[in-house]
Amino acid sequence: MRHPLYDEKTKLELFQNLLSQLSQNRHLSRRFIPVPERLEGFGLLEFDSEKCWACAACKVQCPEEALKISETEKKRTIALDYWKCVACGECVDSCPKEAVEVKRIFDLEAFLKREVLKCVEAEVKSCVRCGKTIAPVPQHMEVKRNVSELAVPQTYLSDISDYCEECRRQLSALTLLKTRRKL
Amino acid sequence: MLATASYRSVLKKVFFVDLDRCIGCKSCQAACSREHFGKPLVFVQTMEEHAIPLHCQHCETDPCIKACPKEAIEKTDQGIVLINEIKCIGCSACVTACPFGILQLDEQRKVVVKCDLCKDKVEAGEFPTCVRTCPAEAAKFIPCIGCNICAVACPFAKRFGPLPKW
Repeated sequence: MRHPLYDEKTKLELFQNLLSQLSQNRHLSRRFIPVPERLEGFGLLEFDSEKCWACAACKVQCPEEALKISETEKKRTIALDYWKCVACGECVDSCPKEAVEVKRIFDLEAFLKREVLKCVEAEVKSCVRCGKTIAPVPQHMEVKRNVSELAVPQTYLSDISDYCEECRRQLSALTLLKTRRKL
Repeated sequence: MLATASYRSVLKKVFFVDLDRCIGCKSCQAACSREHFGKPLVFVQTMEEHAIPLHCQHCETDPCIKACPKEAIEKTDQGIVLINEIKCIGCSACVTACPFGILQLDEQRKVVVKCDLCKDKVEAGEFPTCVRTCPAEAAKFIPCIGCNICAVACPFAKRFGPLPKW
């Protein structure tokens, strides 16, 4: 479902409104401009990189596809396509770590230049067998710590958690076969 | 062989796959994706010329429930582990936690999906879809006899020794 503000005409109208107010207030010389209370659809997302898991829940939930994930072998970057963002707050509601915030300021330069703002960068944990990405390191570590509070075997913490999903499936299939032969 | 010890005491019937009968046709996978919004929740793995269907084991020590930051995963009285799709945010923490690698993120529906044992059908007294579809009658939904083999075969069980090497 798309946000009602996606409608370009509405957004343009709002933007004109904002600009006319700015010209009255002589804010144009600054990069960050405070957004008036009654104007919805404009804001700036702020990520707390210490709290953030880089789990991409915000990207999954974003109705405008404004948040982007780019992944290399070692790093995952979350970036914001500022032109597309309507500051609807879906990312704030969905964040498991409460690391996102919508500030009521407007970055005019980034908006006009259609900049892609880099938000968070985190290392990723790769599968020790096939090298596929399992999860970002902060998320992987916290999940492992939470799960280790349960009575789980050492094999889970030392081996299974270092494999990706596909390798875990193969491992359970192999375990099953080997146990079956013994019985 | 694939039955789970967790709902032995509370559920009368358990999901069971007779590996000698499984022909690896992936009919269960196709039927499951038809039933669950186009995503198969059963994985047919081929290992050493054997076909092994894998699905959510509805574990006794639920790592996915512990990992979920939004408390969106619950265990029903029947021992079925279910994802609350309203609460789920798609952060994949449970995907990272699952020792069997069964959970997966459905990017279109923006939630994590997994086997719900066709809850509505089972409650109405029918069989799960994969069991009804299986042409070789390998997948069964039968009363548990409590033989405990599943607990021995489980790679996630407490008493299991070192993992097999590839």
